[in-house]
Amino acid sequence: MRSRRGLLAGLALALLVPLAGCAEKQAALWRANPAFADLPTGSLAVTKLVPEEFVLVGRDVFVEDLKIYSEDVHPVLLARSDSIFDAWARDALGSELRLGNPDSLGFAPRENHQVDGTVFVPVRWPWQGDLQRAGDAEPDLVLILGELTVGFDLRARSLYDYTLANSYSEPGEKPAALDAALVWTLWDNRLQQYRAYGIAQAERPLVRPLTLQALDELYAQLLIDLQRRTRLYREVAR
Amino acid sequence: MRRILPFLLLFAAVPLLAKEAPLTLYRDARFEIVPNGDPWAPAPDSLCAELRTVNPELGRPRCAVAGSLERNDAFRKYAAWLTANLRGNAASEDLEARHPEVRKILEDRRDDYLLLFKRSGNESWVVVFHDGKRGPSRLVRSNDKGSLDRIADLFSGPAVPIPTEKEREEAMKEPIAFYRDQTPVDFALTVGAGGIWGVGGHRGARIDHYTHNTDSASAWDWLHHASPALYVEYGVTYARFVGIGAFLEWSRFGMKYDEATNPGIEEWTVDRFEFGVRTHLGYTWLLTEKLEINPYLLLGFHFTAYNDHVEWESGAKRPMDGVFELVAVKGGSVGAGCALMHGGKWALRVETGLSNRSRKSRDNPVDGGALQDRPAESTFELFLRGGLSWNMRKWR
Repeated sequence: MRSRRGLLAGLALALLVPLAGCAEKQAALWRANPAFADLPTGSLAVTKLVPEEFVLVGRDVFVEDLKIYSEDVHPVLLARSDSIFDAWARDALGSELRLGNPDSLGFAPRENHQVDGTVFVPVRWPWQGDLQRAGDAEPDLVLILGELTVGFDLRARSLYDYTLANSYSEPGEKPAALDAALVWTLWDNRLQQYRAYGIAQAERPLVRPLTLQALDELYAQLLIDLQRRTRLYREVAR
Repeated sequence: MRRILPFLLLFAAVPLLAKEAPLTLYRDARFEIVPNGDPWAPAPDSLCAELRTVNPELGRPRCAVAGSLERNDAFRKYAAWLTANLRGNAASEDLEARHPEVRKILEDRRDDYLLLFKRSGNESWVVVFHDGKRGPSRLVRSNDKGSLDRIADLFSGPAVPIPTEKEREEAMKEPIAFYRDQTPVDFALTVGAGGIWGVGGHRGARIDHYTHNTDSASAWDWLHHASPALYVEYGVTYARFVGIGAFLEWSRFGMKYDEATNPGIEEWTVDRFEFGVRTHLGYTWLLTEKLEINPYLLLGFHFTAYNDHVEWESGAKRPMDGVFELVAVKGGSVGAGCALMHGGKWALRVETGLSNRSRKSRDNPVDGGALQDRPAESTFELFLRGGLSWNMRKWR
């Protein structure tokens, strides 16, 4: 009896173990450059958002709830986002250096880089060999803010994982959450190489009507995630 | 754990078998040294002399300083950038050129070897660009003093003439050697052994009389449950994907009889012969250039014949009024297996599954009368077989 049970268990395991090996591992949402073991330190500059890379999903809801004209909603929220990021860089990171957006700085066109597994992000990086200057200063690090998507019931993973690219929510389903996903790169300006890049994300329960305060709370959560991912703290970023 | 260890090892070994492809060496190729201002870089003449010494197969290599690249702004920037970014743990894809102009330069020098030398402190680097790749084809880090010390490792081995555009196109279309050289039809002879374990039946059953055994629906009522088995199979597969084969399997079972009511029987055994066809459907992966693994699913149909032997004690009275009823029944088997083949010639295979024998529905009485049980008409068993097969695959 014992040997038969053992045989059955052996057979089951022999079938299950290879199957378990095929089971997909959850891909990470950020990638650190393996060439560097140390945490990034030095002076930091933050770029602005590119208008084409600020995406509002479900714009009608923003127009309706925030009482902004349809043609104004994108520039208004973009300006607000930029000012929130500016204030965060100044207050949380202690960084006084400002850069323009990747378009005005002449960065390379969008390139898709692998984060992990099937997750790829579009990034705008400076050319290899191009040193960025903020006024007279040459920052050691540049935090490049890439594509920012704000919308309802979004998942960062399904935005950037190509195997989940065609997953849609059911029509008629009421959105339950307010989400934001930001593609970021921590760029080593001395070596013109990335230190880390990835996706920061935030999610809040959606309460209609939507208010600017709710958006601010969403951004606050997004910036906490960004700060955690980039490992940028006031102590290290002078 | 001991049972599944071979499987675990097999699946763990697959990623380990992947390795870096060797640098393709071309005869009479052009070697260019990227001028990056490092005095450690060798002079073209000494590089060529070294190459001729370490590998005569390289023919007459030509060496030069890549002056045109020195005048190219984009490439000079990239070379300086790469020199600054050479680090032990750097991933090779992170060192690729991103500028389209630099990529074009590297693509244009597909047949050449572009070398970059760098020395800082105790560390020295030799970077090779080749085959039109966007980034370094080879990155060698060492602590050697001489810049030419690594050249021997990098450029040893057989060299081929630089392929023409047409040869390159043909090489792109060509399947890998393993599949190219074989015909899809593969005859195979398999010899193997295994075990059979009966499922169902009454374990405590005993045969009362030699001639009365008709009330047993399962053969395991009158046969002992387990037996070793031998089999031989001859089959053909197409494209390592679908196959069919004829097989013959022999096994021998002891009978479960009541000694009190069957006096005079010294030994009572049954030989079981099973013959039929087996089809399989599988898929082949190459683990290495020579080793292929082929998991498959089995479906078989067979006839079973029992042949009993009774050893009578001397002087025992043999009953003459009837004979032991031997029934040949039809059946099927399903299962799964896996073959591990080396060189397309010899394979080890293991397969397991469930096999049965049963009566066909048209044997039921037409008048709807009571169904009479016939021996062994509903017999189930588990089997596990191992075999060695000799494949007669043709090589072109």
